[in-house]
Amino acid sequence: MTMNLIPGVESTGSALSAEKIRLEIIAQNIANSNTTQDANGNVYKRKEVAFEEFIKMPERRVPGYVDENLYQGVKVVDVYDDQTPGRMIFNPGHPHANKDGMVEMPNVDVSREMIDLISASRAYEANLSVVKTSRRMAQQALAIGR
Amino acid sequence: MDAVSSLPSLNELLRQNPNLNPQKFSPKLNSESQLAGGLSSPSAVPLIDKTTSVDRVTAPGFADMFQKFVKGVDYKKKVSAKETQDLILGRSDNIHEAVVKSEEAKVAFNLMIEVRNKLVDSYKELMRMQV
Amino acid sequence: MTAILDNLYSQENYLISKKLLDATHLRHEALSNNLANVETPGFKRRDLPENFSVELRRAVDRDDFRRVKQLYPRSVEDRNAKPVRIDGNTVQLDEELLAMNRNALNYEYLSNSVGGTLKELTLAIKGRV
Repeated sequence: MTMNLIPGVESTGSALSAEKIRLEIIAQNIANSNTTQDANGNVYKRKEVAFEEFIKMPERRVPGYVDENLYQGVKVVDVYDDQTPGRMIFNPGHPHANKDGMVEMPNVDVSREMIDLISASRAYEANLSVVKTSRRMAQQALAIGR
Repeated sequence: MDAVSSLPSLNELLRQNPNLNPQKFSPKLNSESQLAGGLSSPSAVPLIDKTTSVDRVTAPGFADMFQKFVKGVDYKKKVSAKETQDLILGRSDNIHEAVVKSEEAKVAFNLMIEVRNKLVDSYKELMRMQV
Repeated sequence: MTAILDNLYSQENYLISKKLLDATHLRHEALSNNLANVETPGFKRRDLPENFSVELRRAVDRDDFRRVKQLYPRSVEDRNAKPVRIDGNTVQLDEELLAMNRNALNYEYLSNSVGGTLKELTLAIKGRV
């Protein structure tokens, strides 16, 4: 049980964590966009994050306030591999080519990853500005009567 | 606060002026006596029933009202304490509620102190009158 | 029991401001949650229903301040919001941010209004702030 003086900070904090994880996954995808063999001998498959709304029961129920403070933002429920098969390229000289001379490339589309990167950054920055505003509101409340 | 506590408490005023006594005291007033700076202590004040019928009509009304007033201030303090406790324990996140309730309790308390000061001042003024 | 002190705190604007402060605080939490879920698939945005302010205004017009005190704001799913993405998410980032900033300004104003009344009372009682 922590003291929660800044309104909405649990939601905003959860979003900052979640978007940060998403950005890391996107960065990993981009970095591995040409990795034809990972440590297990398989071609790299792009990873995705699954977001879900985070709902939790509140500590105190005041009559008249129904189901408030239930909604606590977002959480990452899973990081999973996208199993779409990657492109096959004919390159018999490649060390990872199969007996037909085909190499399977990772199913990473860099332009799509960039679009996701921009969305995740915007969401992250928006939530940063929310937390600044929330803190200012709390300080205004503290100054009542002074 | 020293200047305030050196003034005669309402307890002494009531003892010296039996005409101001109400007919009966409620025991609850004891818990608020700390709050009001020694406002009243039923056991210490003798109930002298030498009042005329005229005095008996006006005096109990005033003490009654002041008792209600003190209870009201105490209630506001309790409400503010509960809200503050909920906030610091994380049961609530309404910071504005805690601040507003605490300020309201403070204002009510100030009102009570000022009324008490005025009562004491008027008593001193009365005592200064040449008979 | 607290009839004497109730009158002290019964100015119209003070009661209305306190109630709106509650509502603004709640709305901020709802909007923060919307912005946190801007990338969540299928998320529907939540807000205070319009009839809260309508009810409040109606109660004030009728001078029914007991009703004003009993009005409790709640946040509900916004039925009028249109999905902006294929996954059904109804949060529009820019509009939501704008609404949040305006709401925060309301909160500041209402804090000042409530604080002003309390300062006034203190001044009247003590003769100084």
